[in-house]
Amino acid sequence: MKPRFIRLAYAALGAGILISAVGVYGVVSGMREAAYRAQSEFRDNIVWFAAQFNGELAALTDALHDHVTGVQPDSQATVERFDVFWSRLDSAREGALGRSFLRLPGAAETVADAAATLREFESTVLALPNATSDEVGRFVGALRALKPRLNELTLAALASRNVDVAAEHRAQREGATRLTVLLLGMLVLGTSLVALLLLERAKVAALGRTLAMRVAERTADLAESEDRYRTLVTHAPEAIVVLDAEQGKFIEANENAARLFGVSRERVLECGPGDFSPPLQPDGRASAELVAERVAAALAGEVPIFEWLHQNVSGERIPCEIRLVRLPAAGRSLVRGSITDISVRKRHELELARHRERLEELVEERTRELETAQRDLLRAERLAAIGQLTGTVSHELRNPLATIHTSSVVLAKRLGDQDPSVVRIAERITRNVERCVGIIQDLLDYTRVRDLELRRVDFDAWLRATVADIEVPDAVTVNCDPRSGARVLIDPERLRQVMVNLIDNAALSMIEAPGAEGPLRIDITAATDGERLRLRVADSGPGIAEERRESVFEPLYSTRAFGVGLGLPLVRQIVEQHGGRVELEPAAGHGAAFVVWLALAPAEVAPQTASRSGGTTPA
Amino acid sequence: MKKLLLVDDDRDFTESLAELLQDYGYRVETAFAGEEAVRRAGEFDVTLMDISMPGRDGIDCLRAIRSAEPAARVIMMTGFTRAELVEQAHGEGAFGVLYKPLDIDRLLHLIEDDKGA
Repeated sequence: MKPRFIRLAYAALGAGILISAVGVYGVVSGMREAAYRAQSEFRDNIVWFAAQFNGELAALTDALHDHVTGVQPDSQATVERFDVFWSRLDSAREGALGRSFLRLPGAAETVADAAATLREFESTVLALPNATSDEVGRFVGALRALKPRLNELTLAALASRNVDVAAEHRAQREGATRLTVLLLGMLVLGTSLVALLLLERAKVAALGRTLAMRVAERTADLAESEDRYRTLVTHAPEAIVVLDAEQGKFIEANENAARLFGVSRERVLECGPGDFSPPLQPDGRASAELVAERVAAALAGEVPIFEWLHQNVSGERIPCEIRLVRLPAAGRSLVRGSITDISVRKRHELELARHRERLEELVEERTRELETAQRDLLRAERLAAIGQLTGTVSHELRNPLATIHTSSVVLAKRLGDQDPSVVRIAERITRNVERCVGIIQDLLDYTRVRDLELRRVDFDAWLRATVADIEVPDAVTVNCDPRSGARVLIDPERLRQVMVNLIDNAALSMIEAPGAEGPLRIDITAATDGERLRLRVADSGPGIAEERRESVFEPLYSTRAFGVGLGLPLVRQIVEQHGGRVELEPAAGHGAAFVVWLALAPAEVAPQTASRSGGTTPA
Repeated sequence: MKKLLLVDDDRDFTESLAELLQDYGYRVETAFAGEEAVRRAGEFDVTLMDISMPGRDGIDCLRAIRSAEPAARVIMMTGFTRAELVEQAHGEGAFGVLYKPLDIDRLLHLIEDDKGA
């Protein structure tokens, strides 16, 4: 509804009221004027006329009364009839003359009516025994003439009294006009009121409609929003519950929640978090206590996210991740829980952890292998370098050594007869030349890995013979007592080098030890140990210092004053080439002990001459 | 008394060995290059020659000497201990191969041994 129309309606209402007020004032003042005139002028007129009229009637009726009573004065019935007649006349008179001249015609009609009553009375009169028809006839004639007479009287009266009928008419018209104005005013007022009422009603109705529309819209919105919410909740991939924290019960739960807990949705709504949790969580704390803590945090406005162990109705424990959030609700403490089953994730995590561990193991293993490979490579590189050097140095050294050697032989031959000590000197030179050649040979052997010429031998016998051939300084006693009874597949020449080096090493370490005295012994034993043969070479020397034990098998590592440090590395190389292992026994008191492990020869295997592809002849 | 030719580019060694063999009663002459040995080998009973020499090497000279005089007795010496050299020398008809420093007894044995080694 436009405000402009409302303003118009109110203006119309104001105008109506104004007009009505004017009309009412007019009517009231007009009436007052009429009353005044009736009281003064009209009253005089009427009084005069009434006197005329009454006099006329009184004379007439008296005459009739006299006549009737004269004929039958005792007749009670006659008297009563006359009383009726008089009363009717009185009423006609009062009725006719009550107001104004304008009523005179009406008054005349009333009188006529009274005359009609008299005419009814006429038959009664005629029935009277003594009445003469003449008199009655006169009386009736007078009565009949009463009406025209009254009219005549009226006109005469009006003429003689100079009554202003027009003024009375005018007054009446004014009254009518005022009344009309009043009525119009009332009408306008009423209409305005009605219009206003209608307007207001329309306004209210419009408001109502708008309101209804809004309500409908909002209701629809609400329904849609609720629908949306329900769809979100119902079809959410996770389980969703709403907990009434005060009651400790769920008031909402989606299908996923029911599925997770293994019960119907209705059943979920009869329960609380405690009903679907084991008594204790994995960290050993009570579930109930933790629930209270987390819910309190959520109610305080936090959004706790944590892992939780649920327990479904069949007792199965399900690792979950829960996210709590406070829901807006007046007067209630609602917390929404969004629960995701993470058992698959957990399983994957476990698998991952296992894989990781396995990977780490693999990495460690590979690292170890790599380290070994690197060590081997380093050794090989070192060997290659030595080999290259040895190839040329060997030749270059052998020539001067050969000269020294032949020269010493010449010296001994020419001077030996004169001075026997020269022979000893020459021998010493020759011995040391041989020692140099030996070193060169060691280098060559070590750097030039050759294929083995394997033979099946009786190990104990071979060992005794080999050790017996190896020269040791006089101060050293070699005690060889092998009792393995084993047959082995070895390259006897190469393994002889092993023995030579082990014995040389032991003997030299004892002799070169400062303050060496007492019996210097080398004990050599051999025995089988399962599928392997154990050869042990022990000396009674000072042993090997702890910090050196790691490096004794490293090439070019020697603490000896004389030597290039290839003896033990060569031992290891040859033993490993045989598929065996050499180790230094843990230090125990005095001396050093080397242990060589070799595989026993398979009983059925025939002796072979080479272990690998076409062996070459050793230099 | 056998007549020996020593061929080696190492003069010290050649001289010391010549002295030694002279002490043992041989007539010894020396040469310091393969070419000379090839030229003169025919004059001697036994030629002692180093395998590794600058210029014409021992194996080459051995081949030349043996092709000129198939019956020539040539003993090869080497500071190398490589098996293939030894095989090669034997293949070319060397009477013997000795490593330096020389095993004197074996050398004398080879010089005297008519069957070779």
